[in-house]
Amino acid sequence: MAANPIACASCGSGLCGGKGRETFYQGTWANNPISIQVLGICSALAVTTTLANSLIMGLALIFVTGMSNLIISLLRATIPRKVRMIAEVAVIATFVILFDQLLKAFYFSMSERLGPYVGLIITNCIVMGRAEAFALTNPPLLSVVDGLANGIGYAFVLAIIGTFRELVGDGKILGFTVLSEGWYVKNQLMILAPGAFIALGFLIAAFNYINARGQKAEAKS
Amino acid sequence: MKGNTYTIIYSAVLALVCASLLTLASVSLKPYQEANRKAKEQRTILRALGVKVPDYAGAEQLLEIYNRNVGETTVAGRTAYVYNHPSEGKVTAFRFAGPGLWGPIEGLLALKADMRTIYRMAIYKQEETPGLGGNIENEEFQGLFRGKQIVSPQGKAALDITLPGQAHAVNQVNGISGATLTGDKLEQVINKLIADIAAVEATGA
Repeated sequence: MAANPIACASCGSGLCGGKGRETFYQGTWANNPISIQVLGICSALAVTTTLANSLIMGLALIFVTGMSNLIISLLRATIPRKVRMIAEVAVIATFVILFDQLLKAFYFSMSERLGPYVGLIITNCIVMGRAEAFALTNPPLLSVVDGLANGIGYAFVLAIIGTFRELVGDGKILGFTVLSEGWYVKNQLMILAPGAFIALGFLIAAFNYINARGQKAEAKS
Repeated sequence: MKGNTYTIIYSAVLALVCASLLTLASVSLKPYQEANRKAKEQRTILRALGVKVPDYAGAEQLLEIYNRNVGETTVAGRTAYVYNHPSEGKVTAFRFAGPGLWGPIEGLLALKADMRTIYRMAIYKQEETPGLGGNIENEEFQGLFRGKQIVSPQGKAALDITLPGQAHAVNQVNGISGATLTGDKLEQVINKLIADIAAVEATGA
C-alpha cells in the first residue's frame, strides 16, 4: 500500500489505493447510478436522442458530482447538522449553474438543445445522493474518486442509450450518416420518449444478466 | 444558543461565497453569451429574408453578410428589415414577440413586395413543450407559412392556424397535432403584428 503515498497521506487510512479502486468500481459498475440504482433517469431518458447530447450531459454530471463531492467532503466537519442538506444543495447548485453558464457562452447550440436539463442536474438524485451517502463521511480525495466514478457511470450508460437511439432513430452517429437512407427506414419511435424507456429497459436487463452471471461464476469457484 | 449563531453565520457565509462565485462567472461570461444570442437572432433574420448564409458562419461573418444585404427602416413604430432578393424582389421582415403557452415566443414574419404574401416565417426564441409545441421552431412547420396570405378571402387581415389538416383558405396554416394551444398563442402573437401592418397599409394606400 505504500506504493501510493500521495493518496494515503490525504486520507490517512493507508488503504487509499485499494479503497480508491473499489470506490471507482462501485460507482461505475457494481453500484452504477442508472443501471443498478435507477437514479437520475429523468435526464437519462430526456436528453439521449443523440450521442452528442448524451456526452455533454455526461460531462456535466462528471464535473458536478466530482466538484461537489470534493467541496462537501472538505466542509464535512464544519457543516451544521440542521442545514446540512441546504448547504449541500447550495454547493451543487453553484457548480451546475457554472456549467450551464459556460455552455451558454462556449457551446450555445448544445445549450439550446439540452434546454432546461442542465439546470435540472441540481435536482438529480445522483449528485445529492453521493454528497449524502459518501462525501459527508469520507476524506476529500476518495470523495472525488466517488463523484467522478458515479459521473462516469452515468455518462457511459447515457452514451450507450444515445448511440442506440441516434443510430436506430436517425441512422446516424454523432451526426454522421451510418445507415444510408437508401435502404434504412428510420425508426422514429426511438427518437420519441417511448423509445428511451424501451432502450433503457433492455440496457438494465443486459446489465443485470451480466452481473447475475458474474455472481454465479463466483459462487461456483 | 451558540449552535444557532454558528448555523446562521455559516449559512450566510456559504451563500455569500456561492453567490459571489456565480456573479463573477455570470459577469465574465456575459459578453460571449450575448454574442451567441445576437448571432442566432441575426441568422434568423437572414433566414427569414432568404439571404444565403454558410452553415458554419461565425459571428463576424454573419454581421458582415447582414450589413452587406439588409437595410433597416421603421414602419408603424416597428423595425422593418428589407432585402432585395434576386428572384423574389423586395422582401420585408418584421419581428413579432408575445406570450406563448409556457414562455415568450419571438420570431420574424417576412412579406413579399405586395405586403400581403408571406415569404417566410422564422422563430428564434420559444420555450414550448419539446416535441409538441416546440416543433414550431422546426423548418418543416415554418415552411407551411410560405406563400400564404395575411388577409382572408373576406378581406380580414388575420392569419389562422387551424387544426391539422383543416387549412383550406389562403390565410390558413395547418397547426401541429398535440400543440393546439401553442398554435393559438402563436396565431395571436403573429396577428398582432399583422394588424399593425394592415393599419399602416390602409393609411398608406
